[in-house]
Amino acid sequence: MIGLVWKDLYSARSGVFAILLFALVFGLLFKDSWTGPMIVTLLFCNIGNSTLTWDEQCQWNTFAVSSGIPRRTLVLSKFEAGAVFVAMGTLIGLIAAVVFTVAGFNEMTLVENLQGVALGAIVAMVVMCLTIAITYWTGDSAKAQYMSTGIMVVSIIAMVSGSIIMTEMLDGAVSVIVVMAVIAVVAIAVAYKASCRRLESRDL
Amino acid sequence: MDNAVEIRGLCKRRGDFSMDGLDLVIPTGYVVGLIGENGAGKTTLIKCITGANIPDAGEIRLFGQPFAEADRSRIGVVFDECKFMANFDGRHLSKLMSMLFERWDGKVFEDMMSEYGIPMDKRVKEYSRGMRMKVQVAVAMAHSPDMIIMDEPTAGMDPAARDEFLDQVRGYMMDEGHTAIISSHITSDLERIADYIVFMHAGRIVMSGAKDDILDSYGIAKGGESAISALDRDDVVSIRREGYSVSALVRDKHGVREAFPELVVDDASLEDILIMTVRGERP
Repeated sequence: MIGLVWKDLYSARSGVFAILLFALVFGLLFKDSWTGPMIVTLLFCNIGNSTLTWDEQCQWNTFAVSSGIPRRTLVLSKFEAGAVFVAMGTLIGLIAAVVFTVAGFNEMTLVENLQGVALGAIVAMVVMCLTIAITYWTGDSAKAQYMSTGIMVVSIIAMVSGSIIMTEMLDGAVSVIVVMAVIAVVAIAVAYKASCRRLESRDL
Repeated sequence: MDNAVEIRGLCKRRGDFSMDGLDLVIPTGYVVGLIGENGAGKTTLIKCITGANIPDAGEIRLFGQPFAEADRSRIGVVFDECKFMANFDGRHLSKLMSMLFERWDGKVFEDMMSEYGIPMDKRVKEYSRGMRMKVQVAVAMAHSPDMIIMDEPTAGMDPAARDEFLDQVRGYMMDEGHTAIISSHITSDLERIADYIVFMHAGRIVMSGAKDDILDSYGIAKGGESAISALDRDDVVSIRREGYSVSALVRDKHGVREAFPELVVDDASLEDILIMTVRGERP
């Protein structure tokens, strides 16, 4: 399992630097509100899905399964690697939140900026899991990639809009984060089961 | 000793292709050559054995165990296309494999890469087709498998590299507990190394047996239409007509030579048998 996660981290190392650059640009573009640090976190969620696309392209799973690695382990490793990328994004988001607060880029307090990062991490986990599940179901064709990107954009908009609406309805950001975390757990469980079901019933 | 592979009633359908009720037993210690035209079902069979394809029906046992319980990390695989990440070099591939396989031997891998003349710091995407096949062979051998399953392993290799590869398989087979299943279009390679041959055609096993027995008994009888029609139908596997000349693949060339001295009966190579099986007509 560690080997599979390491493989994804090593494969994505150049992608991490590219995303970091994007994160800095987008973070600064949206530096006026708590969405700046959140976007920094969110951008990292797609790296996990990219590693899955690379696996599909070189048919790594065919080799891995043929060498005795259970299909379920492959799926789990993909979710674990995705979680590592989201953690990386969260760390960068935390640094951005502190920098934005200290530098006075926005009028938010450190706590508000950190709440933005927490929300970003939750949304990133959900989007990461959904895109992985979608890629398992649709493959790596160009059509599937467009579909996956479209669903990812819709998910992000829905999650962010939902969190803003809930902030108005619920009393405080902490309640919103708790509600979103519950939604995230359900989404992750569904995405994991769907991914396993697909990979376990598919010829490689 | 348990059989390395036992297959009973294997069924697999995929588009126009279908494999219906295939049976095959591969004893431990044999080199088995799978021969057949493109689309005959060799890769499907190999992928069913390794678990990459999911059979529609049938039973597969590996190392005497039911498929689900068998330790498939004891299998080394080589496919017709390299399945490794393009941005990995030899060193990182070795590191990855050491984390995936308990019995990984980095020294064996490095030695084989060196023998093949592939620098360890060269990335997979920079390899030629031949190098990609060689690195797969090195990975398959370096995790000390009890069985190697190779789908067109010599495709893209030059004759010297193929010869070196065959030597490596021979070296691997020095251990009596080892088994090899090799599919190849290069039948001369299989003639040199296989103990047992399985001919596949349209998803079926049309012929199987010890290689020496097949080469010793099968022959190509050549003659006119009337002379060939006189052959016992049970002796004839297939007939091919080219102009006025007719040739027939016969099961018992010695018997045919005795019974029909007027016919020319040549020895049949595995390639002759493959061509006659695929392109010839049933008698």
